[in-house]
Amino acid sequence: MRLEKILSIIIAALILIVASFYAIDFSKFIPIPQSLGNPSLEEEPYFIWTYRSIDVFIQGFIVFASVAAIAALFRIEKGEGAMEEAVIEEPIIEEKEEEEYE
Amino acid sequence: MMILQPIIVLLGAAAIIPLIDLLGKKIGFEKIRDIVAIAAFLIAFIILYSFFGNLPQSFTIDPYGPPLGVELRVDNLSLYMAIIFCGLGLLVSIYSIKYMEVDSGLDKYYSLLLILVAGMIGVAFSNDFFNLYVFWEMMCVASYTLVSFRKYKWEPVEAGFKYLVMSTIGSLISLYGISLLYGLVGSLNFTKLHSAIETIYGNGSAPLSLLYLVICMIIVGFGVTAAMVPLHTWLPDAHPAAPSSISAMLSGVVIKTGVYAMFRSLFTIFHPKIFDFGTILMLFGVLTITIANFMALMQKDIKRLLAYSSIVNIGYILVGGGIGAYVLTHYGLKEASIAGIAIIGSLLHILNHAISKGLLFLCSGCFTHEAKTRAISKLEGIGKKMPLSGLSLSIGLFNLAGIPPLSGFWSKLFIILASLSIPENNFMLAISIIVILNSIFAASYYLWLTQRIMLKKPTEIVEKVHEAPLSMVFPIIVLAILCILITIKLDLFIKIVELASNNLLGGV
Repeated sequence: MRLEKILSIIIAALILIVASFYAIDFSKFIPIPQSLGNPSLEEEPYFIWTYRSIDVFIQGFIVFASVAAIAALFRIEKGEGAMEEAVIEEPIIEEKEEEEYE
Repeated sequence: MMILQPIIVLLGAAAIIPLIDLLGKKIGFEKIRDIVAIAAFLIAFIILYSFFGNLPQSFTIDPYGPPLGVELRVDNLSLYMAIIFCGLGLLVSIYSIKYMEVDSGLDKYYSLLLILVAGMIGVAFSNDFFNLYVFWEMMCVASYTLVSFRKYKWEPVEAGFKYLVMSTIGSLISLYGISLLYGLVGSLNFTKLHSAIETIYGNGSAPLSLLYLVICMIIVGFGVTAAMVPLHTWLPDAHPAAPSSISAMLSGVVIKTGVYAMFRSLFTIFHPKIFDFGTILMLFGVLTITIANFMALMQKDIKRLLAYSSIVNIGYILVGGGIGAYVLTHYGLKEASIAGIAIIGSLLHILNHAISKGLLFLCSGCFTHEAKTRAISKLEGIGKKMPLSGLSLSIGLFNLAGIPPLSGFWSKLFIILASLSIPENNFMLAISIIVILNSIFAASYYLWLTQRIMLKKPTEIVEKVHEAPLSMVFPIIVLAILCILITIKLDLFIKIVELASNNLLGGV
């Protein structure tokens, strides 16, 4: 019962997050620069945070993905993991050479 | 804002899953992270479905719109692709509940799977080249890791590293092409680039060779991820080495993202009436089909055979797109209907292949999960012991073989019909003959595999196996039903694909 409640709360929170995007105008949080002519990075230091803010947001997630990736590849494995026999097409070259040498 | 919602839902879920996993461990119910991932995919899928009928839509952060700002745009083509990406992601996440339970670090697995699909949807929605590239990189980072996820074996690590190196070089080549475009035009917005490139060509302010260099960079750069021969060598290693759920994602949708990015940028920016990139696509396509077909025939590993078959089908898709562009270049708008048929065939094949190859890799995952081997010789007769998985595998193989009346037959037929519809053109005749011969050739090894899996006497290993768990069989049955449903409702799907193809040819 307790577990079901927690599950319901999480799924409800997810749905609320989704629903909130209908209501909130995120552009209000971004400062509007003085001139909107043809800004260069030197003139408008906030160019990246305004014009390219979606890119910056996604780049942040690339960093998150990289952290998750490194954490996944350096995790400590418990148990044997998946057993799946691959097909090795050819004998290893060094073995062949050793046989020839002998 | 609505356009960003499916991406934000997936990324939001990816961010909270590690915390959810901690909570799950506390309360003794670790599967909670799987449920959250499935819920996120389901919500994103519902949001994407709600776009139907309200297209096209654009999203910019006011007042920072194009040509300097980012623009996200959804039209029928991008929605078509996004629904395929998200739909397969949803089924794969259901399949992973049982299939991945032997592994640790599943919070990272689900986070990366969600990021992978968010990246692909972002690529489909981008109307700005740099934004497309950023989403592309996000997709790539997730896919490298997912290939190497079972890092306790040598094969995934080697395959993941190979994929990382090759794909990064490909991405950098495409980025260089994008930077050349920015240098020429001063904007990366697709709509602006379309008109600007035409103007540049008209007034001769840039050499034609430079524009063709950009075209080649885009084809080669995105062609690495699309696994186009000779840039395909990462795929036969990566797809078998990855967990079967990820193989289904890679073969089903990730390589299609490469094709989508290639088609979208070429057809939108470089007018096919001016630039003859259709010939390049067709030649690469034919080369891809032929070489991969011969390689597939030599495989003893079921997942490796399916991987080569993916390369073959990418070839069909490239040939379809190439025919469409070639016809517009050499015959103009008077033969636009033939170009339309070729593009419809190509886009319908994207859907057919995504569903069928997703199904086949998930089926092979069921077999390897139970029999612990990927050797075709040891999996003989497993269809008799695992009837649901075996029958689904047969449906998928028949669909890819192009056995009538299944939809795989129709998508290939459209491509071949388009190439044969051009009168007195020996080049196109040669292309169609090669495609027909390769289709027959491919059908032979699909049917050979069906016979080995379904009709042979079960081997010693196979005698001990049982049908896979329900949560693994359910997505397979859904995909098998979809294969048949597309065939039954072919007219409806052709209408949807036709709308998507109009968007691809919209700039023409």
